[in-house]
Amino acid sequence: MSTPATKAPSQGGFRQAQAWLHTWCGLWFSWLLFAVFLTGTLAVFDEPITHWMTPEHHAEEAAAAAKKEKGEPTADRAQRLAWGMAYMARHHPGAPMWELWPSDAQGGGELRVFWFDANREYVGVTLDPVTGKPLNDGAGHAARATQGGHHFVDFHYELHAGTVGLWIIGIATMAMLVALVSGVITHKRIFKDFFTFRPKKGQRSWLDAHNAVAVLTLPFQFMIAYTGLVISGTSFMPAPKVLHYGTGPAAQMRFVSELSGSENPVATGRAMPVPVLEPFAARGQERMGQPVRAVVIDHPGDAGARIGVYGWNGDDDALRRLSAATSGMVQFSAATGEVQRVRLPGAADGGAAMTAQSAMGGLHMVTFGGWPMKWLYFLCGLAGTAMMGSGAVLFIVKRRQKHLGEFGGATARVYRLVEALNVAAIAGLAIACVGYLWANRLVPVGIGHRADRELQVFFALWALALVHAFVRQPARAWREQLGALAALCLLLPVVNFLTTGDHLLAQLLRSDWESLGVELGVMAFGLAALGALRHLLRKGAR
Amino acid sequence: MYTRSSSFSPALRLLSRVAAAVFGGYALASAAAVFLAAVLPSGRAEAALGGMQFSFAVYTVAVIWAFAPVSLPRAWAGLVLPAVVLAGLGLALRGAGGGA
Amino acid sequence: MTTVWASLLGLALAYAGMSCLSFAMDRHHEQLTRGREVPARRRTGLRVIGVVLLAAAVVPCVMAWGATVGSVAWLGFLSAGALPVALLLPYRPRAVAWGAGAAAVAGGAGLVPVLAGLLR
Repeated sequence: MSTPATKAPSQGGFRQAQAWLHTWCGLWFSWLLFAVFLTGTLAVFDEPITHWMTPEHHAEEAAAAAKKEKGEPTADRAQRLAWGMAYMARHHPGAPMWELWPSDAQGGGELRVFWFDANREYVGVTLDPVTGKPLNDGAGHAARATQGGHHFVDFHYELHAGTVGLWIIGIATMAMLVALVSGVITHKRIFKDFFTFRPKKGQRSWLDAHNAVAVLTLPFQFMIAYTGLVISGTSFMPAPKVLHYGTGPAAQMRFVSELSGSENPVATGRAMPVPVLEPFAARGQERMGQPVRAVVIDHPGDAGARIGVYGWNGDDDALRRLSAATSGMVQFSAATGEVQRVRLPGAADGGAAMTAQSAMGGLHMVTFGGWPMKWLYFLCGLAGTAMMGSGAVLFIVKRRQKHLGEFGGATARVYRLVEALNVAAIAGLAIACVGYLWANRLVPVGIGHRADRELQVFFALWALALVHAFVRQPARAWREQLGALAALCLLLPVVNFLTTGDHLLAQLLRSDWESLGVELGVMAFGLAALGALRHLLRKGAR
Repeated sequence: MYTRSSSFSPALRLLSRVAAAVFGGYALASAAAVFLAAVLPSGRAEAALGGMQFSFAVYTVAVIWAFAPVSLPRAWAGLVLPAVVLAGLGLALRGAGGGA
Repeated sequence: MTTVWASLLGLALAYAGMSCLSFAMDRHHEQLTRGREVPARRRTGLRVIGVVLLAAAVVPCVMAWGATVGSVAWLGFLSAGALPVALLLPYRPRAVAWGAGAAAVAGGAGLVPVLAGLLR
């Protein structure tokens, strides 16, 4: 059987071979990549989404903000550090690491302590900055358990499936890089057609739209794919690390500590009480020139203990640095008080590769530049989502006109599969995403494993959309799922009002831009779905 | 160009090409990373990281090459030979350039 | 300069510049004027103005975010400015042209105090 699907790469010129690669590599990964792009785009706004999904915290946040404005007196840093240390010494004396966050950059706010528990899990508690007693989270009210916007973050890079999911996404991302390069090679008139979009011309319009969104945002698409790979790159490409360090946790620790240029402190076995922390905090602040964010004690209670003082980056640092995560840091020996290491604000640990690594992480997760950059990423992310979706639709639109018979006798069945997967991957995933927000309002607050239930609704809706797409004729499936999507999006504010009593006007009046933005954004998606539905109905009527 | 391998069915030849792209490409990318880790003029951890960062570009080009209109043996050879050379050099030079 | 102000300026200049570049092409010039070909001088003029506007968009970005983040932001605004040009041209070429004129004037006017401040 000499069919186009199997013989194409060996015939014709380089460009034709790349067109074949682009078509098939693009098609088979387009559905997964559409999901990665849509959820990744939503992940840009994970914090506002989490805010919307935890309405019980709204009153608390408002009260905290009011308290801050009134300037209610709280304890100073020395007192806060002493309270934090007393809490840790009483409740978690054996923990290998204590981490105290005394205050915000202005010296106010909450006092928080963190440690590694017996299972090496990172846990923490908030202490009252007026009394030093632990604040009982959730004593007065039941906050709903939810993953919030983090669901979209987690899904877009590991599908809630840990290492397996990470590898699946890694492979898909690699396929995206290949599809981008082969797409550019295939595109004959990249500059001539730079602004070309010819609507209402069927296949031509889909090709134009696919080219336009891809070419006009090409730097972003390359950047987001490449940085996405590099962030988890030592997992995907372990060869150089394994060659120099071997495998196993000990090798990994040596690799990481050599990268950051700091040896892990070693416990001596001789007991020594943790010294008073305030002098270390004060000296650290002076050396690095930033207010104290955190004081970290490795091996507390041991003579080999090390005290690290970390700084708060100013707002300006977060705006102007690609890798906003690195703040100033000073490490002391607890026993002698001697300074072991100083990292000035903005200076990454290690050399050029480490700097590049942290810059690429910042680039991918848009930790820089503030809200305008987040909106820019949101827009470019939507363009990428449109690139995936239009590519998948283009494949089948082309073949509706002209049967290419790539799979011999099975061709019709493969086309049917592609049609159904297109509906489920595009409209169906969008339904699952907004359905997740519905679940947040409708799943009872007190139920066990509540956060998991919300996720189950997400996956169940997606599976349902898949079944529906196979049962119904493609044209009908598109219309019905787009209709459902529009309804779910446009009615979200209604279900919010019915369940929590909150509504757009109230959000506007209390300047709750995050909630307002989420609901208006979802409604905008609903209007877009409605527009697509209207387009399909008109086309069907013609 | 393709007559020599025409004893295999087109489906098998396609499979071989995909395997060349996926596995041959990965081998070449890994080898390039190992080579860079050995020769980059910085600490060995830094060099290993830098090699990894660059390797995905190598992988992309390798896949593009695997689907270039060249014969299957040439496509494989174009991936495996440089991979062997780079990995060999990387292993031989390990520790010499890495400053470890 | 605040980042919101810089974003508006950068976006306006990028959009205006991309519009100029599009109208320097026969196909899009025809959408606007029905003239088959762009006169050679007008083509050159539109291209020069377009490139100058795109280059000018880097100024507010670098002022608000510094050179590193500013250049990333600039690249992003170039994309964001080009998308509406491509998507609106077939529907409302005149609106694209008028919008570009307005954006160029507004962006230029917004840059004047910035540049004056730089020279001072």
